[in-house]
Amino acid sequence: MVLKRLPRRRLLLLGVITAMLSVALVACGEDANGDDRDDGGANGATTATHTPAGGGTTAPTATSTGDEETLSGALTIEGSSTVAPYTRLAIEAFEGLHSGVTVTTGELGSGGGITAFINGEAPIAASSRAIRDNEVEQAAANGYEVFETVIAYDALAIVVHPSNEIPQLTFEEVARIFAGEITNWSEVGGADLRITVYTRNEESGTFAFVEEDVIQAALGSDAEYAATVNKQANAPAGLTAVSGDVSGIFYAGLGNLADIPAGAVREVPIAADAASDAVEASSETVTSGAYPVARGLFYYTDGDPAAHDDPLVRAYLAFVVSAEGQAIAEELNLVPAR
Amino acid sequence: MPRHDGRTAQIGDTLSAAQPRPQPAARSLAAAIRQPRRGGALERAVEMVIYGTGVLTLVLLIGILVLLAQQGLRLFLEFDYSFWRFLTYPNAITDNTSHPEDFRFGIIAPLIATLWVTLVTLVLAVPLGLATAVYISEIAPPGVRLYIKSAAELLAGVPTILFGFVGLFLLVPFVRDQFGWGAGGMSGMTAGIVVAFIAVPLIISIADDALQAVPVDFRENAYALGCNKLQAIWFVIMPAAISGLAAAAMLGMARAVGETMAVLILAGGNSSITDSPFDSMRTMTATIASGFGNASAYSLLRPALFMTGLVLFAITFFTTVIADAVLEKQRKRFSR
Repeated sequence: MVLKRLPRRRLLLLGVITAMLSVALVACGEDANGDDRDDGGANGATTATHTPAGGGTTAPTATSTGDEETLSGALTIEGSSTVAPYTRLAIEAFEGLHSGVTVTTGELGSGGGITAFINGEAPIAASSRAIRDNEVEQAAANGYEVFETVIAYDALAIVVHPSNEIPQLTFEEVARIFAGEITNWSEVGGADLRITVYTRNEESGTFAFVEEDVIQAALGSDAEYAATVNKQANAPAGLTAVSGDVSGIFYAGLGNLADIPAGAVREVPIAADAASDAVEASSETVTSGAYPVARGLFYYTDGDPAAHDDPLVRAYLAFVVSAEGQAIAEELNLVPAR
Repeated sequence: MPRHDGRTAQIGDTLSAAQPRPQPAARSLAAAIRQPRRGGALERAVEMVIYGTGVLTLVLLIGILVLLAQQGLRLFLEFDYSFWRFLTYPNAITDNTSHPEDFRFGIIAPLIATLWVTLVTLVLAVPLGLATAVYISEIAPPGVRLYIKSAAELLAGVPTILFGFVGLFLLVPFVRDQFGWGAGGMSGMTAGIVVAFIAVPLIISIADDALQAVPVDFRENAYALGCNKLQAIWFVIMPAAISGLAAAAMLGMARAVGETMAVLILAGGNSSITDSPFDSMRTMTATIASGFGNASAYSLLRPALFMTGLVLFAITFFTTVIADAVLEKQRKRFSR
């Protein structure tokens, strides 16, 4: 009897510990993340004797690279998964120019990146939406003066299931679909089918961009997402959902669309208003202003990066706005900011 | 050397016969017992370490509770967020904001989502788990029992994200095309089905141990009284093991409440109140997981997520405590 009792009790104990640990992990997750992200900022200022490069934001690549061969250390960039493909390519090129430099980047989402910036865990936040006044206040409370650098502009494609034959949508119709005012495809010229709205989740800059610059821009500042939208953890999850759901609608950057098989989803042409022609998202239609759902991609730093304490931040942001950094944006089908 | 029965006596005799002089051995044993104990310091140190680990468990438990409460209650004390609004707001939007009037977060929607997923899990996993446990404990031949038990224990160790992944690519398309549940097949029901498969191995393992703990004479008496196998299982063995079986079900439930990754992927992500398990939803664990990146030090979101954690902790805590209590009851009933 005694022997047989043991495993049962041990399992129960394991169960108790598992339950406690799962809660403990939730509680400690924040600290663990903080530790991970901290080293970048701490090690960043290793070459304090470096002479500041005058006018970093406008300096052409040649002078800035020739100037900063002594750079070394680590830099952390946290934030948007939409900006991440750009950041990864830019880091690769930047590390190629400065062999002693290590740049790490996270994809917590724009909100996550800005939060990490506010908390002092990352010196550069990458975002696919403009920072909110509220977040600027929070940063100021921690002693950071928010400075915005536009990397490039990005079109946001509206996608549906490949079998959905809806010819086009207007900007306002897109807003009303995501706000839950239009709930059936027949209301916008499609089949008689309930609309299933997929969105990114709240950490995403794209999620906030659509709420602020599409829904509220079209329907007034009180408008918000429909309560029942289905929040997906990331763009691939939403694209997978729409590719299988005949009633689905979702949005994604062109970079995300390039990552899935052609024909998995259908991009809907969008018209700025009822009088305009509907066009598909591309760098040309964004540049011409014909495509209405476009947003900036940003880096946020503490103060003007040209005068930043950390030479790595100065050099990296100077690289981003240089001709070489902007060429990377073009490669990714983004619209260069300069 | 005490001799209780013939068999022991026989062995004892053989030993005495084999060893010409058993006395010195006995003397040295007695001497060893009388000898002052050495290594006492080491023993005390080991005891202290083991005692420390025991206490650590308790400290951890209390520490988590205190941390969750201390961080969570700031939502009402420091940020002046309405407690009523926290209980009843019909959505749980994990925005980063420091303004209480902009914060649209209520615990009710994630709580209901968690209850739906847990309900589905229990309804599916408890009968399946208990039936399998009865089969391997009472019916299956030893070879089969070994394989099923080992398979269950292996399954219990598979990371839940893999269950989520399999669910996403097998179950979601199936239920979408066959039943049209939730958002493109992602719903509380879908998540509950997958979490049931996560909980079943745990339930099998614990329920099997509970059934094995039923004394063998219960079975023998049942058969002696003319029961067939099914009657013996239903009227004697399962009632005798009932509290262990209940504990298995409760631990399965704790598993369902705490499951995060599979639910995040499969439940659909609707953060508002749902009135059926066939809807898309977002549970408490998924809300915490998907909102933590936004929770800056000045944000109302951070304490709100800690409060969510506190509610989650309370649910798992009481489930486990109840499971422990019934288990203890069974242990007392059959200890001899």
